[in-house]
Amino acid sequence: MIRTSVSLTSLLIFLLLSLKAFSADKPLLLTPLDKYEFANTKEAFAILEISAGGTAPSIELSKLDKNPENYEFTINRRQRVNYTLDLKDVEDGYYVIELPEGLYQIMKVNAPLFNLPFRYDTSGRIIWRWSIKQNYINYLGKLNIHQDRSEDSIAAELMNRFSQSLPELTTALSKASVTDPIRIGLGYRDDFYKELQ
Amino acid sequence: MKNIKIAIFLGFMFVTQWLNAEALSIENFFPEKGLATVEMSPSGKWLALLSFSGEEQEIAIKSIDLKESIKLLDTKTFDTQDSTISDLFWLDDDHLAVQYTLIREGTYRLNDTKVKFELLIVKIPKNNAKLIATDSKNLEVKSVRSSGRLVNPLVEEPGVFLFSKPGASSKIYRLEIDKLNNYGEPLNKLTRIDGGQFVPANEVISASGFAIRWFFKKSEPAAVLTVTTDSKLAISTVKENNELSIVHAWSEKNATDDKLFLPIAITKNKNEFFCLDLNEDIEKSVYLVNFETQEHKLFYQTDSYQILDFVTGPDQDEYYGVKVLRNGIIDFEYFDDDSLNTRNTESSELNLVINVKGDGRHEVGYRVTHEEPPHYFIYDKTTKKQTFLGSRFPDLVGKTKNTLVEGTVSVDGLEIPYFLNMPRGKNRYPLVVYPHGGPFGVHDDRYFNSHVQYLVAEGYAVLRVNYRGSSGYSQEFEKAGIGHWGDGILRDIIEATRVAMQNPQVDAEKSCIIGFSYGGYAASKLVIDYPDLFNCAVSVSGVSDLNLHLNAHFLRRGTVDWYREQVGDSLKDYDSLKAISPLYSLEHLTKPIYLMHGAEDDTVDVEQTYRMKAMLEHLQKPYEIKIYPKANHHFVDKDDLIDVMREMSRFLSENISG
Repeated sequence: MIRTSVSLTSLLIFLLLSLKAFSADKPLLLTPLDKYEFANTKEAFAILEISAGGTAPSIELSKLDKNPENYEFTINRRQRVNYTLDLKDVEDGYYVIELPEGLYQIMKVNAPLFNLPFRYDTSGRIIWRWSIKQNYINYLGKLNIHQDRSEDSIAAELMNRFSQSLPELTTALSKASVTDPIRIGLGYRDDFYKELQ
Repeated sequence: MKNIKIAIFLGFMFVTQWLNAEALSIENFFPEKGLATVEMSPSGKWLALLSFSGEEQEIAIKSIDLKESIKLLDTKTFDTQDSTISDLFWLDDDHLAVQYTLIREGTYRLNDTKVKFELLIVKIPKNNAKLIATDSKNLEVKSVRSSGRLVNPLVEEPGVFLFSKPGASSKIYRLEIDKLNNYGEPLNKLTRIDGGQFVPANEVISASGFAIRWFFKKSEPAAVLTVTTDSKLAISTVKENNELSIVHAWSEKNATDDKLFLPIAITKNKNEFFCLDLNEDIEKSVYLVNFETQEHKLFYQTDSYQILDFVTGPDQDEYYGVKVLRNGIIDFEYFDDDSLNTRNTESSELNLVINVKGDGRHEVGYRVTHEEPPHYFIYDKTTKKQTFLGSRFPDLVGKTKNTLVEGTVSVDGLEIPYFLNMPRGKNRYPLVVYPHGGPFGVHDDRYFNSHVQYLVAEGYAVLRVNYRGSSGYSQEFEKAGIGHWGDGILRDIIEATRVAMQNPQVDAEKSCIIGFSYGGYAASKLVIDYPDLFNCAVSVSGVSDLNLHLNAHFLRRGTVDWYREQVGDSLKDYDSLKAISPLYSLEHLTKPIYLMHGAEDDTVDVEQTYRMKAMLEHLQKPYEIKIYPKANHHFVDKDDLIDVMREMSRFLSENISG
């Protein structure tokens, strides 16, 4: 009888752990643009410029839709966090992130300071979305998390700096012999690059 | 002989004009130093003059006949950190109260910078009724150490004033100057803070809740704005028995109101207040609001950066103007007596008496016209003599002469007002069309404008248009601009331009369109669409891609909703917004364009200008560009603004002058 209870308890713990493992948010890998092996890419990839101050900044992402251009997607339920991006000790610069094709919402920016857990809720805001398309180089903007903050809030922004970044990106991608077309992958329609070509 | 005389006369005129032109530099139009305001003492014998010099402010005391003058103190006198003098009050002829606002830097990496108010009461150094120049260290200065604000100087009772101390229960106390502690004096067991005057015996009135602001009629409290214990904002009026009665209370449902009125001054009418609209992005408008009847109307709008407060008379129910933030300094604007409804018919002169005290013999006046910069003067009613006191533009007084033509043009059934400033003379002048920014809730007025005056002094006729959507006329006129960012408003500018070009003194063959913000958008759009009218364009901080603008990273949720209503929805109206974005029609550009932008702009993103650059390079079109690394949307730094105007002038001279 005792043995049975132990077994059931073990099973329950095993199931809970499995469930947690299944639902755990996946950490995203950041690779500096000049070190990324484009030839080995399996997922769609995206380029993000990062300037993240503070002790351990990070962001949390939810996948909203498989269609990356479903810009009118509205959130009508609580989103599960699918991915996290740890930005601790990340130097300023351009990074490559591998993500499956789709439309993503940055749900939260975490920017703790010492023992103060600062968070910035970005859920539901179109300007905090990414649109990732397979077979494209998806430009995701410049993520700026300020080191300085007020007593009860942080300053963070996802800026569209496409035209300012384009010359540098073009040079870097050409050096890496990447031929995939560039697209602006922020979470709203932006025809600029299409018109520029 | 006659020809010789004419030649001598013409030569004299040329030399005079040349000397005048030489005498003015661009720095004169954007000065470092100037007079901000003047306050007359209760007897009318003394004047306190608040001037600015760079980021510093200074108070000088002068006798009414201006024969005596001393520097009293400046911003750095009592504090080494950033501080501003935000108010001056004469308490009596011997005491001037100076309200300092001190900026206290916060903890490292925590932007918890705090603003602290400090009230100093300075005894005017005199001997035998004569001013004595005194080092600031030797001034007799008292201070109120308890937190609160001076709310009424009680000028008819020398030596006392009313001070508000906020708290869960807010009270006004009557304080005696002599009983206060000296400024900076250490307290000991025998010294009571503020002379122990915050006691029930000195209490004048009490309000339940945290008092944000008290309103007075003469020396009597008339109303109070409070945050109640249940965190509600309420405005209450004072009844005869000194009890308070709530006239209006704001609740959470008011948060969604179109306008959220905050009272800043009381009028002589029952339950009527001057209010700011907290839903305005930056407070630029003053409304008259009756909280009993819930009626409101627009009273005044500024083209400065922000309205900070009201300027009232000693009785505090007389209103003169507003205290504003302009180019980073506190400045003052005074109301036209007839408010704004007479804008089209009145002469281009604002002449106000802002101070008259004592026996009434002397008045402090404020005057501004379309060509004369705002300035203060003393008028002696007995001798009828007017004496100049100072100006915000001290080097321009009497030197900026030009003609103003005011008119309206009919477009789509609307009467669109315009102002055309031209140099005096009978020549023909190249035209600079200078639409204002906004486009909504902003307007140009007929009075002195340093940008316009600079361009006129450079030899241009300058046209400004209060297109549909501009404030200052009527709510209907302002609303007429909604949804017309890229069509109706531009039509108004074009039609006004065509009318201005018919003026015999305008050289219609030489015309350029320039502007900041929306004006920059209009400039780049119209130079593309109307190459027959414009020879060039300058866009400063201009929008080039409407959809990008509506998705800018700095937009707050409320601003996004506002844009959706006023301009369009980027999700639904993408193609129509793209069609009115100059970025996407640059292939039709045939005239030179100059783009300028501040890299720190958080109203129109600098990416807007970089996109123009990329597209112009792609299309191999000639252009000029200048990015100011530290500048924001408003070019607050004077050096940056001067450079923008200087560059603009160079570009204009290369393209349309001569």
